[in-house]
Amino acid sequence: MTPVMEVSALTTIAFWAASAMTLGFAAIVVTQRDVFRAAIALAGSFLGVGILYFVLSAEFVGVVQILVYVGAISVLMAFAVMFIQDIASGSRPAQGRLVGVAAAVLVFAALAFTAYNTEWSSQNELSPDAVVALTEGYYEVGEGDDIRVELTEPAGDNDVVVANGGAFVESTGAVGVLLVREYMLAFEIIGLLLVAALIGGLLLMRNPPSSNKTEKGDASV
Amino acid sequence: MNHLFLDNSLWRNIYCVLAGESAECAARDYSSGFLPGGMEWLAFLLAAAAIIGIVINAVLGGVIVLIWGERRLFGRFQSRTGPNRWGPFGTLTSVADAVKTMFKEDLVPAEADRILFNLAPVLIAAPALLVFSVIPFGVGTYVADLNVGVLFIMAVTSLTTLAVLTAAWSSANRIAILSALRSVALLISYEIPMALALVGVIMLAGSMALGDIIAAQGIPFILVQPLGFFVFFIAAMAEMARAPFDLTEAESELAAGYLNDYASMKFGLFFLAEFMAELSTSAIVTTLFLSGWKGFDPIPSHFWFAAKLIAVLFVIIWFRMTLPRLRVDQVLKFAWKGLFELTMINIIVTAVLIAIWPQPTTGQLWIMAAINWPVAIISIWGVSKLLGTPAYENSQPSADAPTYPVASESIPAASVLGADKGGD
Repeated sequence: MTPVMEVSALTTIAFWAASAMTLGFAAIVVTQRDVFRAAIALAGSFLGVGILYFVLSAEFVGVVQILVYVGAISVLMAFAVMFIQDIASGSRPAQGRLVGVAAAVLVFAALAFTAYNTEWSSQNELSPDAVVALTEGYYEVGEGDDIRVELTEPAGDNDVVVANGGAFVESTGAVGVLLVREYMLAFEIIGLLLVAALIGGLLLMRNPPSSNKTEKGDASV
Repeated sequence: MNHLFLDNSLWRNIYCVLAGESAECAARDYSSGFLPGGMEWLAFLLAAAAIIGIVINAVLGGVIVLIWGERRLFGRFQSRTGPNRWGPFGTLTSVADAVKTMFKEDLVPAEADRILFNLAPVLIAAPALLVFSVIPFGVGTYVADLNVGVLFIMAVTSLTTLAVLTAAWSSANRIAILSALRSVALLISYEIPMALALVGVIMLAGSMALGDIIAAQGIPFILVQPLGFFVFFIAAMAEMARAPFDLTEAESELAAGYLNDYASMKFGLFFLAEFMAELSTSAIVTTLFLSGWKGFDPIPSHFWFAAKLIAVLFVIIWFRMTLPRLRVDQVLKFAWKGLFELTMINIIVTAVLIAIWPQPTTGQLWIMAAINWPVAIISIWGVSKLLGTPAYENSQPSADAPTYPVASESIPAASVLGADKGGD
């Protein structure tokens, strides 16, 4: 069996290219004075992050990143930008620069601290069996506290056998199962929140404060 | 390196012919190759470049044929001859048009944002081509079979919105901006029913990979998912921004909308992207609803795919030629109040059926079809009753009280005529 996640030179090249794309466009976003150009560059940066997810075999997250961030949020930003005056000369420089710098340093420190303190499991530290189990799936045999992991389905066994897809093979299915089983409550609450936001938006649109009462009666469309 | 791509015959043939005596190809009966051992990475890159070249050129060739076919069919639908000057049956007309487009002067408006103005045609053509990377053209003939194929198609087509917005904004033209506002409203609204219409197909197949969806089609899903097909087809027509949804470039209202300031090959790229979208939409419909390359045996799978593709293209052209352009409020109302409800009905009914038969066999698919067709007909009838313009009561205008056909809810007939005629 060939390990699926062996890091090849092509993967490394793709990783650095996508990283360069993300950081390069992000640099354009903060240095460009033309706000519309900055919005388009932000879309490019989002796209770079999406490609990074693909390089890491997280296809589902990568596609959703492109669908939501590049396809929807960037469009929303470009739209909002059109309501800003003086697009070509740029918006006024932000007033609280010190606060901005402090916030940026704090966010960076938090991210760096988390990344530094996470135990990254490299493939070199795993046993070959563990790599196969992670990439091609494994079977949990037994019940309760007495569970052992096998790479092949045990034949002629009375134990309970649960088949698991490999983490890298079936990430889409795994996300789906986690969403509707383990994180069902969070999923539903987010759905409720979005409905509330939609209704709030509709309410704001339907009753502008300046409208007088005679017009209100006709608003039945 | 990941060698799973060798399951794909398009990749395997090119890679193994190049790759020499590599271990992966030895097991697959390719004895020797052109490159010495240890050069597998070069074979991988060359195979990738070759496949990209094949697919892009096949698509561009397809577009040339499609433009010719569409114009000939337009002629037929309008009782005229159509283009017939260049080549037999006018087949070289598209080639002549392409040459003409390339040699035109490349104009950039003085006020335009040059970088974005030049970027927009690239932004619109790239996603239109990317869609073809997941479509299976025949047995084992695809660039990649992503396990999120359907979602990938949705994600890539959603990039068009940004390109249209960029084109309109960068050309510094009021009419182009108006067109972009319409376009964004249209594209974002129709993306939702388009994606939701495919949920039924995904549930039936149990997978988002296009290969699995074709394999799951014991009978074509157009029979099992009539409502899903109906909504998807209409939403896809709108996403293409073709008539009757061509309000973004409506000639009679906006000249050509966001295409206003583009000339030469930059306009050519927009034009190409439009036809590539038509081609890719037909390919998606063929794959998801008409069981893709499946057919019976003596005819090869690629011919089945092509035949179904041409049939879908014919229907799209037919629609485009038959229906007049809709107003922007009608279009948006139709998406949110009509198609959205229909997709919800489809999802609920399909979910119940899937709960009864989790992994349907062909027989069970027929039963689902028998349940889904009445549901589809009743719900489409119901929604059209709720949404549709009420029929005029006086079909024969009388001399003393003439009625005028003002078919709009937002502009009541009474206000237009300046007198209350009663009713709504």
